[in-house]
Amino acid sequence: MKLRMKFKKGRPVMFISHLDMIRTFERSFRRADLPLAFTQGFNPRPRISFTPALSVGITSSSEYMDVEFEETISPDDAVARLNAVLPEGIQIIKAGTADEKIPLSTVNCATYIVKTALEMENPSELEKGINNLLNRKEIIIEKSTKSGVKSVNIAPFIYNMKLLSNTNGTADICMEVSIGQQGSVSPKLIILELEKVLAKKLEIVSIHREEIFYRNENNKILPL
Amino acid sequence: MTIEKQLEKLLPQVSKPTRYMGNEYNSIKKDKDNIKVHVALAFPDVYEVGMSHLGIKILYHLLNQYPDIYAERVFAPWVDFEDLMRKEGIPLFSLESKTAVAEFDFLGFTLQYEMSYTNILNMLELSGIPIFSNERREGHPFIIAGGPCTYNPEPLSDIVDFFVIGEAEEVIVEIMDLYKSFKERGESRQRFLEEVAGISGVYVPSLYNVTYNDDGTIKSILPKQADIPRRIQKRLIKDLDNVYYPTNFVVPYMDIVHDRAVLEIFRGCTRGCRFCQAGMIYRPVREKSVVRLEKLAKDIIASTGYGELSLASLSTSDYSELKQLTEILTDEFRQSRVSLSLPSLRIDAFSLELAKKVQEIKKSGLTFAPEAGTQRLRDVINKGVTVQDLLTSVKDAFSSGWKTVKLYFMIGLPTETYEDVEGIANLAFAVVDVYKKVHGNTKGLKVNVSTSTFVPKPFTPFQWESQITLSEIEERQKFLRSLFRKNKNISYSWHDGKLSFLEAVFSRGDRRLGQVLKIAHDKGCKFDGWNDMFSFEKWMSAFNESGVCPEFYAYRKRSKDELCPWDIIDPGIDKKFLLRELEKSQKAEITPDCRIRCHACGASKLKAGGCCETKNEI
Repeated sequence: MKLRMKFKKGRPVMFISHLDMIRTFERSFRRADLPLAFTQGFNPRPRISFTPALSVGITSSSEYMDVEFEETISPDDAVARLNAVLPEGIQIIKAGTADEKIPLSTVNCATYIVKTALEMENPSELEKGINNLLNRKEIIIEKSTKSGVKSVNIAPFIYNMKLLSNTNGTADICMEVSIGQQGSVSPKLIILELEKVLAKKLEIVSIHREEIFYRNENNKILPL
Repeated sequence: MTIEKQLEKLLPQVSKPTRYMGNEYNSIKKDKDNIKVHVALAFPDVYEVGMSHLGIKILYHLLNQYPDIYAERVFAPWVDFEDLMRKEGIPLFSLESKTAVAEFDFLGFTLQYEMSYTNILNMLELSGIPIFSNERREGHPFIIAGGPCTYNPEPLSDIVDFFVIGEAEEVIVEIMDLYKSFKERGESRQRFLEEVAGISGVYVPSLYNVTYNDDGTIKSILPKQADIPRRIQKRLIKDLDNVYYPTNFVVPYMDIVHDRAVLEIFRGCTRGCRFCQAGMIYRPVREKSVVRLEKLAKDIIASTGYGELSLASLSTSDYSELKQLTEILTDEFRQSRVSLSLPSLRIDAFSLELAKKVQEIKKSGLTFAPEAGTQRLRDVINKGVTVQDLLTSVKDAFSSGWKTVKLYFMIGLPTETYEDVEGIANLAFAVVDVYKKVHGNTKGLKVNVSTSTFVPKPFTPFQWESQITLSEIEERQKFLRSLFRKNKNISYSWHDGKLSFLEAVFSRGDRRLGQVLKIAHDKGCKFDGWNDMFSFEKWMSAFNESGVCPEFYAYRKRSKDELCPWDIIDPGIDKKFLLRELEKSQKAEITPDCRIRCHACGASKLKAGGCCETKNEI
């Protein structure tokens, strides 16, 4: 049977990579004595699939994985047993059957909250800058790839941006951006562009992935 | 700002930030205000190397069993992070509580290889602790060291406050107990050093005077006070089966060098290879029982969740109940997909059968260690392997589907000639021929030949021998390269001769090398074991400036009555035995395995393991 699990990646583990995360889960399932299903073949791997990798240094309250078990397991039981043996900073928020849910591979949108430190005499200036960036049809950035430097327009990947709060020299900016195969842009890059617009330095304090989901013109579907 | 806060800002800028993060599953958190002794266990290399080492893990969990002791881990920061630390004024800190190392009661280093010594100096400097022990004052941590390199502690004698010789499980607790009472009494640092010198297995180098002969050899190493032992006997765990062994190992996030659960099955080795220090200093052989190992294995996997369990020892095939143990463990872990790995297998028909069963279909390479290219030289070093043994095993391996074999040799062994060096190549060619016979062609075959250079080690029969010169090393490597050039199935790699030369200097060096280490460190030597960091030029200029001649240590053949720097240590084996073995080696005479006949090495006086009980001494 296949379970879908939603988990969070907190500050204590913000620097571990996607591969580290996979290893950690494999070992945690064994500690929890949950009967993972494995692939056949020369080098059996556990049957776990994840949503797109989170960049190192970013925390998240919305990561998902599909896990196959050899036996029937109740979602609540799996959550309790796993949470008892997970390292500090990783926690299963909920679990349910993966049947009749959108495939994790279709997840194409994420919201991030970026905490920045800035010195701004006029707070509305920041809001203006954000709107300016959001309304642009073209934001061309240079991306270095294996075959050299490429120009990419990131404007279509930014769906929404807004200022959540702006007090005591820190501002929380919420951004909804495209992730996955059809194109993605990192919150860091958007902040760099925002700096250009404002002609001011914005120091990133933290980046948090708030939610990931499937998005089309009319709908927003959560994986679980 | 606390170190923790600074890290959040700095770690995004460094490679592999997980190295400095701590907080792994099973890592131990204690309130450092509610303890009596704070111990930093340091490995003088990066996290992924240090976390692969068993000894430090045993001590970590052992010490943390005591509620009033807090042991934390410390590793060498990689150079990118070190630069940032120096720039931002962050001192070396512990992984668990992110406490500056200078605030600890003890800073203990494990000495696994000589080329990590400069990292120790660098770590002391990063901690803000004086490098030389005589510059430390009340309130500085005691710098202690253990591990195989302490069998010749002298090169670090001016740096380390005291050494723990031998197996540390018992003695470390005695030291902690003494320290607790010392702290309560509020006595001086010097007084503690004098008292700790009374614990068996502890060597406090500052309490000894060394005098030298005109030719630069050592005249005497004598205690300055009457109540200080003249010789330090190694500590040994008599009952290995019941000794503490952790099951709640820390589980790293990042991919470390040996990323698996480790189960130690025995200590010591009965083979008696004459170049091998581990085979001598860890005598006698002591095994753990199958019952105990089965219990430990289950507990370790339950507590860590590791998917691989490695059986650790000097020579896995020699565990008396290996077949039974592997059968039990494979059965036990079939369901949970935990694979077994058996490193240090001596490859014979029996082991191959085991390897097949354990690895089932996972056919990674097989490693064979003939060590020398001709039978004569293998007899000299007492490596009881024949060409026939090797080729039969290789044939079996090829027939069972293995395609990659690694052959490990040493060059520069005592009495080696070019015939022996050529023998290395001939053996590799013979392996290729076996594959051809089995498969009709050489498709898919990979023979990886690697050579290191012989380094004479203390407490081996070859401790009096010289190392071949650097130019001889390079000549012999060049010769092998030319022999292998024609063969596309064979790839040849070799250990940098310059590193082997320095290893030879430090493995048999004395106190005068402390100054060289300091100068080398000042010139920026660190991570010498890492190719891209090693600078032979800096080292040579350090020797030049200090006036210490490295050739004196590496190339000089010692006379049998010379007082060696390590003679201050008693490893439990007799010099007479080592000399007998040296003489036999010169006649290419072999000495059979101790399990066949006792050779009176002296370890029987340690009264452990029972290796000599039923046999007559010669």
